[in-house]
Amino acid sequence: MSELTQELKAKIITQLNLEDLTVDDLDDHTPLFGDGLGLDSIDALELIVMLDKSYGIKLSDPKEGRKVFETVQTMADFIEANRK
Amino acid sequence: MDASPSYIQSYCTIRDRSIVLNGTIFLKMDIATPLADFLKSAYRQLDIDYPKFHKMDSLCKAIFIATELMARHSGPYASDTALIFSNRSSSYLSDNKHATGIFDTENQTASPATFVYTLPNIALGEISIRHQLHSENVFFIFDRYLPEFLVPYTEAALDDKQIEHAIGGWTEISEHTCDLLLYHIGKLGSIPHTVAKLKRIYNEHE
Repeated sequence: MSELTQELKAKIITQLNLEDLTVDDLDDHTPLFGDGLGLDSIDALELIVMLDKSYGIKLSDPKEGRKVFETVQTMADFIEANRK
Repeated sequence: MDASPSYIQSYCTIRDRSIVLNGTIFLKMDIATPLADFLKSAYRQLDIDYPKFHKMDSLCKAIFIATELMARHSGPYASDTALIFSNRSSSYLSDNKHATGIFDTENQTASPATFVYTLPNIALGEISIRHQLHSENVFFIFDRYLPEFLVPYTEAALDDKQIEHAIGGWTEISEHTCDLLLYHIGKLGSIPHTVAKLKRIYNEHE
């Protein structure tokens, strides 16, 4: 799982152009939205695309996305449970 | 308010890998420096913390840097500062990037982060957010820099809307080049807001 969280952090930083951050700056449990990393709605769409492209997981329910994208850890848990 | 003349309170040019604010060089790099690296260096030199910058396309980045610099000289901007911009290629770079993604038969992907920049007006939104502007804005597409149009239009807009400030100019970006002149207009100052003066400023960039 740790390998997946590290991979996810690297993908998030690259995909969302978070140039001031490194993988080490990102804690597994830091909130991705709101007061945490401060991602916005466009970032959320990019994460949905990333899940589809990188892990073959299609997220169609926006309510589900709110929980999935809470932290790097919740994303990793979701991917582990759903990846094809 | 009467139709009193306006003045250029500050101006910024970005061309040939150099940034000049009011005739003084802010940053100059080797002409071979990739445009993205040059714009990133300018951001670093501004010494601000605005992570959203890294998500912007090159058009937005160049406009962001120029308006940030002018704000340091003649800002902060009044919230009703009008934005009157122009260029030749609109948002072509982002349009092309988006089209490449959606027409790629091997790996078809539409990036939301690219798509949001497929209008030049987005750059005006970005600086409105940054500087808390709630104002009129327009983005013209011309074949070339046209102060003969922009000066009377800006003056008419200021008079018509009963406002005192505007930011305007020319912001042409290609994959490797940037040709930008932005200026901050107000009712006080010593540099007259005229076609002749703007032509001179546009051509004086070193």
